[in-house]
Amino acid sequence: MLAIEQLTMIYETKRGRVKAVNKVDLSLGTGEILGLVGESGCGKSATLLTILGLVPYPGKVTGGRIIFQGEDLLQKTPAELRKIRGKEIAMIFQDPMTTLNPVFKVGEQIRESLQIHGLMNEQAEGGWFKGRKRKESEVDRVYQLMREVGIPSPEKRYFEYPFQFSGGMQQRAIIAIALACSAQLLLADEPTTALDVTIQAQILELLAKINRERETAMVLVTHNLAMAAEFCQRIAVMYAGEIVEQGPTDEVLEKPKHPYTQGLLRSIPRIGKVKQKLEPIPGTVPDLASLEDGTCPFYPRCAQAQPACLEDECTLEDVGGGHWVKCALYN
Amino acid sequence: MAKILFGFLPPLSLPPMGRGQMLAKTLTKTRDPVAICDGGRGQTLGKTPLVELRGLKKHYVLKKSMLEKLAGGREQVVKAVDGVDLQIFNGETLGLVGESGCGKSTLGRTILQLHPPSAGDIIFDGKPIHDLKREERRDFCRQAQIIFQNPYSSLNPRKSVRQILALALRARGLSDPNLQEEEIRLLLPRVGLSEAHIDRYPHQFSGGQRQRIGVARALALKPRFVVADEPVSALDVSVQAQIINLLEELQAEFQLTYLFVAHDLSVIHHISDRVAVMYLGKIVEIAETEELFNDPRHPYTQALLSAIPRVDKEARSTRILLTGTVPTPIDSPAGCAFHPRCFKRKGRICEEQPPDLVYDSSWHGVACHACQML
Repeated sequence: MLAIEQLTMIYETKRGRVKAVNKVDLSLGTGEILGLVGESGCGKSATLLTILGLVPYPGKVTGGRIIFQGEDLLQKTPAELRKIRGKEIAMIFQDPMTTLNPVFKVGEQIRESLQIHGLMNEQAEGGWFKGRKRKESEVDRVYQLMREVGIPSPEKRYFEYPFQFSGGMQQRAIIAIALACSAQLLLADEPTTALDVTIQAQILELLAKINRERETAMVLVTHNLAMAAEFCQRIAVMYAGEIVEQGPTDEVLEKPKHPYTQGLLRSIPRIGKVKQKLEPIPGTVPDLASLEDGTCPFYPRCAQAQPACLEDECTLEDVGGGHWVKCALYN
Repeated sequence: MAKILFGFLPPLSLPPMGRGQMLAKTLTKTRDPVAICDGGRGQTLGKTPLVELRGLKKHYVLKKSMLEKLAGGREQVVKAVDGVDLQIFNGETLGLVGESGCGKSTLGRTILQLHPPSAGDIIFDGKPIHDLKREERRDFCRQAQIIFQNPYSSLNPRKSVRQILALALRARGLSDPNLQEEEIRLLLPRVGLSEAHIDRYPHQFSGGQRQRIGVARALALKPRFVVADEPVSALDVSVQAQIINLLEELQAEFQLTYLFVAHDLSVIHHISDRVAVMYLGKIVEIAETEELFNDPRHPYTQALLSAIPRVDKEARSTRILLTGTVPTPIDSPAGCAFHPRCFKRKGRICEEQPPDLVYDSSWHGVACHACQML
């Protein structure tokens, strides 16, 4: 359904070219949930924005293809993209308070999506009160959506403003906007990071329900490995703009191949295991502007670094069972 | 190339400390642990409480606008911390968890007198803080320090590391610049920074390194008690582990006592000896870490623990989904504050009477009517 091939997006800055997304390959089937994990600044969110054609100013897509339902999104005109955005591909952003417009009623913001994509045109009958009838049917649909995402008493809450909603309720309203046009692909960018643990569980449960009932495919961007472990069927681990490991969730987490994934798993405290001293990955995430082409970006922090790591650029290699790794150790 | 890159990284393992141990020695010398027996309780755990809170409250009165004043009506009070009894023992790490807005940060700051408490007593090292004389109070402020959550906003961007740390040393009474310099040069490698960093400004550091400066600043005062207010939640996963390890090493070296405030239960589980769970300004459950995670008794703790996503399949349990969200601490529900969301509600008693924190023989405390009826 979605296939990304060799996607590269760079930011042209004064300090040089920053490869925010570097030769990323991803694929996603109908009804599948893919987890995109990595630390901040590794290009997870940039990948999502590139899919939607929302790359901010100094950014440019310099290569690759994004095939969505047989068509290359990178070849589309802005007008064509606008029709896809929100209708076929919807996005949920991290911070619910900044996603919703504070000066419009929540219900109206959900209805806007229906209005823009003109889904209600056919249902409204002609005649004098055409516009009003159309609005009524749209409002009914919004009530239905709000109920579906678990917002209680939608008849009342339709007319409330975002500040009257709690964080969890705001995120539910945003999910309702994303669902309004029955998008087949949902891109969720850290949908629960701003929320508390118990609310996070509620929202994840809601997303899982949507996935079950509507067969919506999802890309979940998160830095929380445990969340991806519970929620996703496949996981892709990103580091410095590259996908370093990709495969079925259990495979990646139980038999991690890339030194970065291994390090990441050793550095998180786990509940239910005997307490051990954490083994952090030394150093910090590299500055993307100063990375050299052709070398492994993880090299300076890697415990298993070899001279070969600096020579050739690795490619994603299949190590069996749909498990792909980009590392000189497996090339 | 690799060497150049390595050169900029902080040293992986901390170098053996000649002077650092001396620092530790002087620390222990100045400390005379006063054995306080609290009805045998401290002795049961084999420790003495360093900090004890008795009915600590922190209420904020909301200001009313002119119109509201004219209209009359009740004064609105935010009960951020609402009657907390707690003991923090010498050398332990007490984890404090709860959802945002439950008052955990306020509690930490109130203990340090960053906010004056509305009611209740704070007893530090056997002495009630409000009775302290000016000099003693100063000494308390030195001995109790805080590490803030956000390393980006808790350091002054206009001051270099030297200035930031020198200010802390001056507060300790070390005013000779040469001695200050010497001390700073000892301190920096201890928190995983190098001496080359001494003249840099906060913006030249990464988040993890900034948090190390924050730790150094707290450490510069030779504290005994440190409130760590979400010290790792603004950091990346791989850097988080570095700071957690650093805090653990420092605790062992300087015999620090931590109150570790966090909302991430995996981190709390890793670092704490005991864990207290807070809900709407009150402690609802407190126990030793393993005991709490294996046998949570309060329905809120049960839901909280079941909601954490876990990497290991065996560790997962069936999820208890709570309905609704945390109510505001303004006009919090009568009776047990958790009753509107509780799945073990026992009728009227929960709605009318606030439950007390009752301890069992293994000092596992629960504030719940349903648990106490069993």
